[in-house]
Amino acid sequence: MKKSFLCIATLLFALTLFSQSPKMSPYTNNFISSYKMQKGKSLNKIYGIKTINQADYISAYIYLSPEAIIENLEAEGVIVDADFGRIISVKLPVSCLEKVAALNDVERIEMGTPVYTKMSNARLGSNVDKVYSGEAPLSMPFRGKDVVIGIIDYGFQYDHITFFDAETRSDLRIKRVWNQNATGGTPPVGFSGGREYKTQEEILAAKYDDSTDDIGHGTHVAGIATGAFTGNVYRGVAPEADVALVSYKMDDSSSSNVSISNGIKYIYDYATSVNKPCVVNMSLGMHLGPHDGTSTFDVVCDQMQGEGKLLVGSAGNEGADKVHVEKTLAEGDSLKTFVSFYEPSVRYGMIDIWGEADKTFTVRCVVFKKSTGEEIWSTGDLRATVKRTSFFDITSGAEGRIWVSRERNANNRKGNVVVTIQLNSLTSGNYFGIVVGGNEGSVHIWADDQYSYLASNNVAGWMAGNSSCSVGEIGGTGKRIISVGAWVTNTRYGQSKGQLASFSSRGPTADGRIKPETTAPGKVLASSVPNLLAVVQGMDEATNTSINGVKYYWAYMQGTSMSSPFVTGVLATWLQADKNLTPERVRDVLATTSIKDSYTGTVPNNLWGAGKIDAFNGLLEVIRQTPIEYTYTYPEKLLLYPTVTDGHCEVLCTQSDENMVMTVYNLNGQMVYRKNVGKIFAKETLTMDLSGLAEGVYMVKISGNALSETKRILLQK
Amino acid sequence: MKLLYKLTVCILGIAVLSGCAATKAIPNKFSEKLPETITYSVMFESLWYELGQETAGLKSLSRYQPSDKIVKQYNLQRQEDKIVTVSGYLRKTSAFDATAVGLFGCQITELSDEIVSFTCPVVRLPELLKAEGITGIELPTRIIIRR
Repeated sequence: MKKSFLCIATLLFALTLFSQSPKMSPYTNNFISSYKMQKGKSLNKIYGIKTINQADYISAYIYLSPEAIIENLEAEGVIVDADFGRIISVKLPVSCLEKVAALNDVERIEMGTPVYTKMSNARLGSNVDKVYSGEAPLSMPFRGKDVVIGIIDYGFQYDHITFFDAETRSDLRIKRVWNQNATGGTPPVGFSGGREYKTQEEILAAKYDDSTDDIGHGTHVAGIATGAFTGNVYRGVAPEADVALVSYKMDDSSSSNVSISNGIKYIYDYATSVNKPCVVNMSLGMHLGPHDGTSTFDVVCDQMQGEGKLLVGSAGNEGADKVHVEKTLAEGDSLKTFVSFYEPSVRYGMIDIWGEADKTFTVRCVVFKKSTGEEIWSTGDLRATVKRTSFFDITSGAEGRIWVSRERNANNRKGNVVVTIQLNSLTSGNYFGIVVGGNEGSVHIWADDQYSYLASNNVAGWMAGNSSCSVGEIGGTGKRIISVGAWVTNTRYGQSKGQLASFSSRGPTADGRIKPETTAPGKVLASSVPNLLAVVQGMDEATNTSINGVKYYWAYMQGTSMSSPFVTGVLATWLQADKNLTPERVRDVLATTSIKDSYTGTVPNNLWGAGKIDAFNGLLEVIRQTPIEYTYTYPEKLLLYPTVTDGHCEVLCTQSDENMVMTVYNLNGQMVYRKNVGKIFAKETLTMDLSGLAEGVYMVKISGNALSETKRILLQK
Repeated sequence: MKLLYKLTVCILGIAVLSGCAATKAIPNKFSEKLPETITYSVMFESLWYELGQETAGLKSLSRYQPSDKIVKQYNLQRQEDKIVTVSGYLRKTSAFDATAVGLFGCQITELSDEIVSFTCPVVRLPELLKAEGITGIELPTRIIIRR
């Protein structure tokens, strides 16, 4: 008897404990059961519980019943965050969860689930998810629709699942490809070299730009900007954009600035042909050039950008490298530095030396013997502004050849000397050095940083390289390009979250401009990579998935190569809101809305630019700045007029509908007006009286069973 | 009659051969001085000098192929049909006619009102420099790909 009683009691207790409301999702039911058994910090973290006024709240979606009265929910402490018609997103007190579920106004409650993943950290940190979901006061999601994203890179897999439409998985979003290296085909009209692919069939048939590639850099970059696959959390920033790809011409692991600028032109021309705004990404850079925006490449890029034509580049990965020295010369002064080589067996390097406009200096290349402090070989002093290329065979202390090209640059009137070094051997204890002499003006020296860097070798009077002015040419130095540094969202490769990535290059430019413009997540991001064997064998895999027998991969990478396309995707969502956005307005928006925190310090500065990009608040600012016009276009479904109003608006509906609701949000996301209209008939006019609201921009959402429209109005009294 | 026949054949033969030579031969101009109306980057001048050195003694450039050393040093491109091309930037005025230079195989891409990029067979560079409206020429800079 006793046993039976115990069993029944246990069963009843269990039933009570684990009773499930049919109106709550399984996850929500599990939560309430766990919460009753155990409260505490660990549970808060697992379920994303927030404390508001000393009460525990959770986020959730509530499906409303047809005759729902929102005020009944609000009376139970529910806070409505956003209204999507029959579904509202809310914060509600945990203590009232079951009571709210029992209301006749509620059909179902689905608790929100926290997400803890790598690319998701990056999206969370920059508020990208709010843009993606269209969080209030946005009227809709912004995912880059009707915008062209151009990627100039190398290592593409064109048919990676993430480049297809997320819904259909059969419509390829890559609309144009120019592989500058391909042979046997037709280049684009007006361009030279390579092959253009213009149809889905052609692009899919090509499959890769280079089937021998072993990194997949281009696929990773493109995936960050615009990957659409929703089967994992590595979705890109603007997954509904159209895509145009250019594989730059590759010779000996290098390309040229001319082929890159041709690629930009090609993509902009395509975007113009389809009447869409465009943002192009270049995760590229180098340190040959004046670093002051006057190189021919920077000049043509500045001229190509404009309304609806944006350019984004990686600032560089030389933030911890000894890539640069600078000195302002006085009478009889000199700047001395040694050239060191990353690979002792490959003593190759290119050193670029720039003076000040209309001033001159001399350059002497030497072999220096440390034990005696002597220059045991020298080119002699070469005047920078004498236009000449000279070749020197080294005959003492080392063996090899250098060639020295000198001129006064026609673009900026600065003396420029390029020293190319190829040493076959260098006697131990000897160093290769550069001595710059002059009486006035400042001189900058940059090493290529791929093969060589600048060092003092602990010799008195010789300068070690630094990372000042390390924002590179191509991606960093132009006057209109948006250059992007990188910060840490994932500690996989070290450092702490929120910090500036140690490799992120720094400004200023040689003409004193602050660079980069902004920073974005770049250490470490997971994104798509090609399924080529050489790539798969060498990658740091994040995940893979098989679809229809084909395996697709995602891997981790770091660099301003990753942060740049992140910003490219963000700007695509901004272009969706305003197709006439200019580089100058982007700068204004960045200055106003970027995230400033304990890591960024006072901005703008030469590490962070304007701060950490905020996709959501930046988008709101873009919308706020976009002029609202007086328009009276006859609608397909309904017309709201006037859009510039003193508070009285009318809505003309062209078709019947039921459960009509009119809701108004301010640009801080607060709902400031709501009217349940219920049933309406075709050609019926509804009225709204917003005269009690303050002047400003508001979003008006009108929805019913069939209709769902959002309009923007300006309230002026 | 026989003499007249032979004479006619000889004259016709000379005419044909002269015509062939005129259409096939590309005169070697690399030893000449660069036009002074154009500003040249130092790398372009260097390329011109080295091409002059390599082609010294050649009357025609029709069969000339730049050496691997020159191709690598100046970012030239060997095309499929074995023609070696050179690319770069041109600064130009409104008098510049892209179509005209296209007639001798030079591809022009307009990047802005004042600057175009060009791709041209190396052996046609002297003809390009004679085109009206060019004020500056610059060879490309290598970008070492950052990985």
